Amino acid sequence: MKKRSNGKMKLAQFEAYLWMLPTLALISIFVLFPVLESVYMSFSKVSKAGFIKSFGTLENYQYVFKQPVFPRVILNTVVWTVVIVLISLVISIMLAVVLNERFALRRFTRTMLLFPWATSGFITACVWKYALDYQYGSLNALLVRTGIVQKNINFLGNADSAFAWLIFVGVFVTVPFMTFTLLSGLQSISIDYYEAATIDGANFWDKLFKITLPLLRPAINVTVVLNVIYCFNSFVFVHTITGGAPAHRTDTIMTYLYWMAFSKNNYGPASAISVIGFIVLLFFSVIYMNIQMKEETT
Amino acid sequence: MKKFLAQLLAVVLALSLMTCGGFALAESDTIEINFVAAQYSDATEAYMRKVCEAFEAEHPNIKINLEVIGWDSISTTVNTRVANRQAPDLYNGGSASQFVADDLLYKPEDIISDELKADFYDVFWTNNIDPDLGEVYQIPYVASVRALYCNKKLMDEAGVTPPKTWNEVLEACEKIKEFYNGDVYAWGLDATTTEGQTTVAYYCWSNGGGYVDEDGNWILNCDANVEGFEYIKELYDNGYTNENPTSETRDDLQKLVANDKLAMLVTACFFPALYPDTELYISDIPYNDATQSASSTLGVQDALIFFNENAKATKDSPEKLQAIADFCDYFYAADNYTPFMIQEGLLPATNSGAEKLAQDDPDKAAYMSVLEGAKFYARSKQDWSDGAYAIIDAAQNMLTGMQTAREALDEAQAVVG
Repeated sequence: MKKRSNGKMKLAQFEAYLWMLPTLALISIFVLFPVLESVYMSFSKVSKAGFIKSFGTLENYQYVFKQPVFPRVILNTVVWTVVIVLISLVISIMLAVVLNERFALRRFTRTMLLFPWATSGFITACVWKYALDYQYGSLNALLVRTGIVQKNINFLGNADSAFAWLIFVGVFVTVPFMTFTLLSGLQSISIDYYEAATIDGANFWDKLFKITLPLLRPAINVTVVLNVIYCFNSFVFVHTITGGAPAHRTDTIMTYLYWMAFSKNNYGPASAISVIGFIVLLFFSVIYMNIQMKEETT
Repeated sequence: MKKFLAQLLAVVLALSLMTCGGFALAESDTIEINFVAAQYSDATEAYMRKVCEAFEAEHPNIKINLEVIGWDSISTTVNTRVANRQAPDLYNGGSASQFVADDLLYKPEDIISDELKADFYDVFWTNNIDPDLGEVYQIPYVASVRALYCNKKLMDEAGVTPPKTWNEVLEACEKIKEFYNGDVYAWGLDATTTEGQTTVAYYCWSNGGGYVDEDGNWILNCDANVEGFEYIKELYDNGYTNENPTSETRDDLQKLVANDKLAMLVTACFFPALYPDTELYISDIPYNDATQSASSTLGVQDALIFFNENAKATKDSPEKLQAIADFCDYFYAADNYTPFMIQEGLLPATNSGAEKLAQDDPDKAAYMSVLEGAKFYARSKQDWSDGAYAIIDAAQNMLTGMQTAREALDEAQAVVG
């Protein structure tokens, strides 16, 4: 009898693997293979035409760390990721709480909020690039015509203001997804807690900090981890709006990697940058997950 | 009846097999040439296709698979194909320097006819010699020459004539700045990744500097270049230039000249063709008369390269190589080549093309004499892209105040080391 049930279990397991096979094959071809190829390339001498000449060298990593601008690129990437995720998180929690209440036009508001997220990143980036243009930008036209400013403002004129605007655009596209993730978390919190708290005399803030946020933590964890990965790997906004200029001062790892590979044709160092980026991302993700897990166990 | 039907079927089958065989034979006899060409304007593809079709009509056994791709994606497209051993036979849009080390290119002298080789201007052919190997791996495709273009209306209103020297530029800029009270930029400056290496060359070369010495070694931080950089900074710090030189491209600046917002811009000879309604003064690139006695003209050429079997999945037969040579002869024939150059506002790289240009477009032909004495930058150098981007980074670092001219160029020199 036991043997029979073991056999059934094995068959079920086999069936499960069989169903997973197409997904595993796709992941292997389109994710695993390129990742391994990248790692292999990062330890190889690669010609300007992209052919691997020999394996077993650290030259690519040495070359990358010798680039004077590389520490700045790493710093930019960390600032870009952390600031966007933090600002978006605060805004998204507020929006999610509001959207969880009943009010007129709630459905319409929710739909409108989805637009920036549903629009292609490239189109969003192009729209902002032209909105912020110094000579012909629509934002400058609006500000000048309404009399708020007398002359056009050079929004992307220096590295600091350009980077600040990049972060603004990053927040603009991150908030919708985060809000909806948190909203789904809010909807899973039982109304009984709030009713009991109301009977006990709790006000809005008591409910927010003692019921909503603690119970929303799993959803916050998920959205933070997902958006850290998303922002860290984000390419299209920086590439389209500033292209990393001036002198790589607004570059992040992804745009710097692209420039190294496809403008300079230095494929070996570009692979090394991608591996370094992966390690940095892994480092922060592991720290974050550890902190969260410790908090959950205590 | 059955026998008749069987015989009929056999005949039909035999005929269809013959037809298939005939097609197969015809297809195997056809020589296909894959040609990836850069898009210079919206009219490029139509003209190129017309030339290819006319060639195919004269050579029924040759088919040209033409693909015209925009500048923003052409090198990425071709690089990917090369990495997958699917390179085109002919490619105009990049430099041979990237592919030489991997032995991916034919030497043009082994492909093209002697007549065509002899027809190229010496200055172009010489500029294509790889300084590390002493060989030519690309042939000239199109050329352009740079000059100072001044918006006639703005200059006349401000009472300024096109400046010849660096000091005259400063004086002219000051007058324009005062006259228009800052509403018009006096001097255009493009230090973006699109054109930065060319822009910087105007100032370094007109001060006696350059990017490489006679032996082809990088000399990015030579004193003449540092002085050229300091002059650029002076123009920028005095408020004479556009405000965003690190992000405003040549195209943006040309538009500003055409819209009466920028008075003077050093740019390519195809600029007037793009904005035919804008009245312009055309003058030599201003030079530093403290160190130089005359202006130095900057020439820029795009090249055509021939990928060999190492970059492709198939072998090239002698017939195919001959077909490529025939196509080159046809493409560069003055009747086909010069109208293309006129259409795009560019200059021909052949003597026969220049002669036809003198007949068809005498105004443009004046550029050809200037081009003969032009200096080109070292695009044939195998680490050219490293040098070009190091120069652009140096200019951007200096303009954004992160480094002095000397620090920026020392760092650039260290990068190409």
